[in-house]
Amino acid sequence: MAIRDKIKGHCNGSISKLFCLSPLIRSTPVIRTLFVSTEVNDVVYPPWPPNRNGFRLATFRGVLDAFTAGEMISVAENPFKKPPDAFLARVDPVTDEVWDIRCVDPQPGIRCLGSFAEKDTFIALTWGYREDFDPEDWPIEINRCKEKWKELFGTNPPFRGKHLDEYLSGNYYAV
Amino acid sequence: MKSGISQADLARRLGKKPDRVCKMLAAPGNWTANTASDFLFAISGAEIKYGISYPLDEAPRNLTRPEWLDSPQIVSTNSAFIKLSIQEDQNLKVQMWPPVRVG
Repeated sequence: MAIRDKIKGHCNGSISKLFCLSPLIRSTPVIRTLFVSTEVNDVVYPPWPPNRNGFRLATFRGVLDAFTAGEMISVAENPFKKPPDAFLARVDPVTDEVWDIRCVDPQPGIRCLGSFAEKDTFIALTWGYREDFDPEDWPIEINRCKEKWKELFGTNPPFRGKHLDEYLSGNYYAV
Repeated sequence: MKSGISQADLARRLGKKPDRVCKMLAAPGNWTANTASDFLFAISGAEIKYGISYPLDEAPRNLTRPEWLDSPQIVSTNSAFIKLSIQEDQNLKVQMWPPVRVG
């Protein structure tokens, strides 16, 4: 089954497992498509708690909306050589096609792992506070993301491109 | 400098000492909007224009998700057949029956 049909099934089924996230400001044009898992969907809608973590989650939502709004983003292809403020970064090993949407402000930020389903279409599957991601935890988080992908899409692999312009149609710069 | 002018020229245009301009260019994170305006004007004669908008007051977008996500999925079944009829004006009309919608 084509991956679009699986996405439709998960979005429109009796129990939704994927949610199409459109910007909170409804007049914002939707340029890129972002689907989020239940885990991510549960934390990206207001009201957020009136504390520091609530502020962090609201900022995280802003980052996700920046992606869908087609704003200029920085993309790091090399997991080991990326600037600290890269917006989107590949995660090691790159062959797994796991990417990281990085909410870096305020520090410590939030990390959201997922994969591309097709050009300009990202599936955000897991998230976590950056301080909870110790170096030894990264493989566990990456595996959790891969398992989530497998649970939703079975044998359909994540989208794989040769160059960044096969992932994103525009408004990005490689870092 | 990519603009084609030297830091010395820029400093002269800004009325600042070259070492001060060098320091400011090395730490653009500390710039104010006025500093950015001054530098831009000194480099190219351009000025920054600001505007405000009220996105919350603007009309919501109709297209907030990909069209394919909401398009009905037509699937064929064993009992489906294609009915062809040629109308008087010889236009070919194709009809599928029964139309099965999923999703």
